[in-house]
Amino acid sequence: MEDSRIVDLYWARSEQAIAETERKYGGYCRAIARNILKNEEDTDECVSDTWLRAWNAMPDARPSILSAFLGRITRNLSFDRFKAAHTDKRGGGNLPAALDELPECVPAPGGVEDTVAEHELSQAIDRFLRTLPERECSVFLRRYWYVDSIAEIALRFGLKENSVKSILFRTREKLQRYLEKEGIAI
Amino acid sequence: MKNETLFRAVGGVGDDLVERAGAQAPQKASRARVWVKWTALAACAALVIFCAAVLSPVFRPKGSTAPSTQFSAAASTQTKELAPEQSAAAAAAPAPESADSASSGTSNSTTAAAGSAASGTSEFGPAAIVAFFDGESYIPAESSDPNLPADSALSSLAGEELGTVESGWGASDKVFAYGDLSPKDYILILHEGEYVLYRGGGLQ
Repeated sequence: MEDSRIVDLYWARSEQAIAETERKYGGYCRAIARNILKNEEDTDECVSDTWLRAWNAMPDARPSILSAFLGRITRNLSFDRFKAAHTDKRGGGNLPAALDELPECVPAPGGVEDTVAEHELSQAIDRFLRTLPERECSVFLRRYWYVDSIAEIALRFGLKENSVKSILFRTREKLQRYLEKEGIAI
Repeated sequence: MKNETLFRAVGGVGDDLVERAGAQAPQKASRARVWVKWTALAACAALVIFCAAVLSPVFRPKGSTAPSTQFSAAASTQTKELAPEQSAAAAAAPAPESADSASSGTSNSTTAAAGSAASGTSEFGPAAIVAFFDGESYIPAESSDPNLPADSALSSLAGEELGTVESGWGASDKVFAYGDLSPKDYILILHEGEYVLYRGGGLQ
């Protein structure tokens, strides 16, 4: 079923919307949650919560890209669940490593004056990503949006793992310089 | 805290970018690349084995002790002496029409050609395996040859000195009769201080 038709079902408050969403995007959302949580039980709960969130969000929301809309909900829910479960300890999954790498993108303290809001930072990262070649952009997002492992990214793009690491390293450096140039600090 | 902020901020990038990254299917080309890699590896391995079979004594028939070893070493030496252009010329050269000694270059060419002609024997080796003496061609006796002594006491079986190898392998080396056997059938060649048993009919 087409995405627009599924959205229409949500707007019509038809419960078939959930079934169609599960059928089309269950695997997609489950993969995102699993990458973050590495736990099947938590993954299933997050995906179920995603359908509930989507049900509550539509209407009023009418997402143009349903997959990204649902994936973002799953990602946020999974991250919250991950944080709750790992307040004092480091867990498995790909997320701890991805989280450890991300601060490299932040300019050194004292280099800029203002701390920016998350939304502004998102917009800056979005602008930065649009300056990158498609492959570098997608590799970055597979790592830090989808939280794929290095090996999974290498397989997906037909690269060696060292090449993926190298691309990520260079992209983080570029992002750091970009944020510095934009005067953005966290 | 920074990493969490960044992680959430990355989550807010445009849907189109997220969709594009999500749509990137795992590369099937990688399987083709693996196929190419393994094929290249197999080709290299085949080449190495072929070269080893041609050049190494390891791939020669087992069993014969001194003669085979001596032959192999000698053949290797002979091969090294052939310059590339000589080898090429040797491959195209006709078999010798006479047993007269020739110049060294001619000798090598003759040897190589003779070796090619003798490739139907049990020896794998390069061309330079045939010795010419008294108008006859000789090749190394196989390890299974019934006239090859088990304990390799070839020196004790060396009989009358018959002359020297005229061309081919061991050119100018001394040739001796082998026990009571006819020189048409077997000869001993004294090569670098050791006897090597050769049998007649090398180019038949």
